[in-house]
Amino acid sequence: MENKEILLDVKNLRTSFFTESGEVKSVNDVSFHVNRQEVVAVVGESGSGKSVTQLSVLQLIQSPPGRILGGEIWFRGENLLTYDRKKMRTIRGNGISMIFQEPMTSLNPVYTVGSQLTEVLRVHHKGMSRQEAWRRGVEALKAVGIPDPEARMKNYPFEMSGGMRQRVLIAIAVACSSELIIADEPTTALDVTTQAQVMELLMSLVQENGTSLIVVTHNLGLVTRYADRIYVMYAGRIVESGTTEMIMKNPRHPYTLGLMESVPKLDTEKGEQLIPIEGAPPNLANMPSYCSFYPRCKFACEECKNRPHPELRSTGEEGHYISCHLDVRGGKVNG
Amino acid sequence: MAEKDILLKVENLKMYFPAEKTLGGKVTNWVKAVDDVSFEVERGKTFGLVGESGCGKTTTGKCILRINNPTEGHIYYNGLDLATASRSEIWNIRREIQLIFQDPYGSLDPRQSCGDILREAIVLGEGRQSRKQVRERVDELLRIVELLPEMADRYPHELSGGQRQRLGIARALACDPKLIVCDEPVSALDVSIQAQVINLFQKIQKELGLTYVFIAHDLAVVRHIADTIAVMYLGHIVEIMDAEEIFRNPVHPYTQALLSAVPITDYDVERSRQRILLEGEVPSPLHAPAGCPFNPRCIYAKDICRKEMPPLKDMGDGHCVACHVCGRK
Amino acid sequence: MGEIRKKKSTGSAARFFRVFFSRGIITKICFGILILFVLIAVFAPLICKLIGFGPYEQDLFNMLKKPSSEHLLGTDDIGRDTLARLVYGARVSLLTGILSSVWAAIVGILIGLAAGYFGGLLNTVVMRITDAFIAIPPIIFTMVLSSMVKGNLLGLSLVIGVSIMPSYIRMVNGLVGSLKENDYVVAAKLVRENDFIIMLKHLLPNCMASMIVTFTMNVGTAIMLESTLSYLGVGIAAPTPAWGVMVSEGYKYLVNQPLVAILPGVCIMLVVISFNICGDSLRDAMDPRLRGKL
Repeated sequence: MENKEILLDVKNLRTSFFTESGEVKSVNDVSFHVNRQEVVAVVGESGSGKSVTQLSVLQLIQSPPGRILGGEIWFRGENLLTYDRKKMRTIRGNGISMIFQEPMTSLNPVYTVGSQLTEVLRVHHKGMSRQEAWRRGVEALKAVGIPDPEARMKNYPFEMSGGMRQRVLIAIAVACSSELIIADEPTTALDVTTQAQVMELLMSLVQENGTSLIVVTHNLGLVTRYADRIYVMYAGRIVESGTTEMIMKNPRHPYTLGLMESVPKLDTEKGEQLIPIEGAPPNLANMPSYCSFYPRCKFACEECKNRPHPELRSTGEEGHYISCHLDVRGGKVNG
Repeated sequence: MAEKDILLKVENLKMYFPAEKTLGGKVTNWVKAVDDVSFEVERGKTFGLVGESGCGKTTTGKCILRINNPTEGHIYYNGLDLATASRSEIWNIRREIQLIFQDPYGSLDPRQSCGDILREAIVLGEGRQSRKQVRERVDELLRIVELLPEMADRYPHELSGGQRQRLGIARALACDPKLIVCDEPVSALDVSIQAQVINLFQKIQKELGLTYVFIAHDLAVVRHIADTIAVMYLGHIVEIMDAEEIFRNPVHPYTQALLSAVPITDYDVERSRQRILLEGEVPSPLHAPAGCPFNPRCIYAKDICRKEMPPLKDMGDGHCVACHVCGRK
Repeated sequence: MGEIRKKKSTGSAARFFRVFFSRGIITKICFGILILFVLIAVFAPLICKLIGFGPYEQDLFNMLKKPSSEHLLGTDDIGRDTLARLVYGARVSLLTGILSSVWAAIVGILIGLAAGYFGGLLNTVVMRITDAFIAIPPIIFTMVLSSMVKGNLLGLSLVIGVSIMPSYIRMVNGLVGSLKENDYVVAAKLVRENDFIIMLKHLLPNCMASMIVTFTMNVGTAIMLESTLSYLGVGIAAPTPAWGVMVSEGYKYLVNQPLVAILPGVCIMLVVISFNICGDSLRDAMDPRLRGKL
């Protein structure tokens, strides 16, 4: 990619939830960055901290029990963690937009789509007239491919299908001319054909408006198709990162490898067994000092248990990092 | 080829729900959730039913279990027509057909311990037994689904999603079923857990000689586990084929679109693959289009598609397609 | 095996109480108050013997007296010992409250369960009748009926029970309506259809938590209702020492000797509040999902 300007740079972010059973380290020293016009995927299973990481970026963590304990979030050259509530609100509107898994809950059911769209527009463009906001709203709906946008403006959210509602949320992001869209499992609640439509729409925003996109998902296929770079998260930490090609073709962390082996594929021979990752994700309130993937890792050795959790390190390939003591390559341990 | 051993045969199944009624109770509009569906399931095999939400796959499953009473059609199970069977006839074979649910949270009674859940299914399903027999059976069931015997004392909320689903499977197995309808059994699970449960399904099938009707929206999962796949769209089966055929030779335009919408993890294949992006959305079953249900979104649609419903035609080797245009070879 | 089982059950009982009392000091206090009142009610004759006065005994030399060493809480207008009457009043109030709630609960839950589970016409009929009942103000309803039972405690409980029954029917009906859609009910049906077993084993226990809360709160409501009726003169008949009766007799002397009217009022309040708060804690303790956490 020619354009390598960094838009969002998160450094050593730590977010914990303080519950009755102790401190749950949901985001544990996570660093990542997003370039302009780039599609970055954060992959992980439920409880891996992938959503909490993104909520932390926007400071949308429910507090208490949650708290951002440390780190830096650089956006447009400023550290968002030093922002107060009011300043943060302006960022959420016209800098970074978030799209959630269940579009029904992020739209207010008692207002029409039009009134919600125009309200957002008028909050972020001070002094915009009602008519102007309405016109911009219709334009935004048209931009996200909603047929008959004039009539749709007068609909209530429940009158629309899930795919439609997701488009409305994207339209709000478009209307605010956000530079970064964070999509948290944007298509999980949708059917596959609708999922394809919504993803194509998001991709066209990246291509045409130069928006950057973070897709949080557990769907490896989706990532393969759309993402430029991938961060794989496990138990609150990033365990592997690199370009999509590097990771999908040559996963170097045992967890990434395990994930890929456990997904049923459309094009393999019939009768082939899936290779699941045994066991279950660790309890985040009670993490071991050694590698958090150790109990489920099929390559694990005595040494892994004796050493602290591995730091992210380069694999030798440029831009490919893993946090693993071992050198796993092509499904085998080297050396 | 030897005579096929058919365990379940569904013929022209229709399930209509009343949508609008006049004041006098006369139904003026129907939701045709399942409309003229026919298929056969071989003993010991897995029959996959794929489609998007609202296509009628779950309703079909519920008709087989007689949770819903079909409006029309026949469901032959071992020669008995479940659609018209009396209550007492159903009673006799009730435990031979079981269901595994999608939601591992809602399908277990939160106030019963895991052991109680299994004990109830065993006692109700197989009649009176001694305490020792029941206890041994509980242990056996837990072993089959690869749960520890200690789990019997736990409550469902103490288990993880994968463990709950295993328990749901154990409960279904408790009364020695022959046929299990699995309604989206893995779609609520995490990727790594999903694989464990899929493998478990296959292992149990091999060990106990079960027949599955496997309902899911995830094409990759169905292709992995099923022997035969039927693709449903708006209450109709549009294509039935061998599981291997679906990737190699999908014929119906909807199957093709569905297939291309599912992203796959092979980087080179995925990035170079031709994609078909469907326009619009699935129409509401209340206002189903005339003719072929897929015609408003189909790029090949011709005049005949808007008038006549294409019949499901065999193209050889049991590959059946319901399409005016693509079905013709 | 027997030993293990025993251990397990004591373990869960301990957990039960831990959750029950985990809501802090207020639950403990309220629980204590309830226990105290129950003990007082049970041992009322014994306590009166200790005081030296019965609830009907008149000490005509000491009328409307302030607390003294002889009459610990003073006396009323015809020289009856307030403490003795309060002690016996606890008997009357708790008995009416619990009796009416129990019978309302049993009948109401059964009706609600059946109507909710079978649905259809039965449900419509039952619910319309229930709605009609709810539309009548309970105080008027009970006043009319209680004038027929003539101050009899059992009869009054019956009447109060009828007036609080709709709340059980409504609640159980609503709960069952949503619970029966649960997959585990479908699963039970698939094993072998038996409506009775499904209702008793799956639906009833899952309603239990809300029902216990309703029950305890209804005991409070019933006590209130009984006191109100007695105060108005259509509940427990006059010489019987009911708290409501005491308030109604005492309020005339509020200026000279306020304790006579205030003390029974305070008792009503304490008991009603305690029942409500204990009901809340009980609900938490009954829920196995919470039991593991605390």
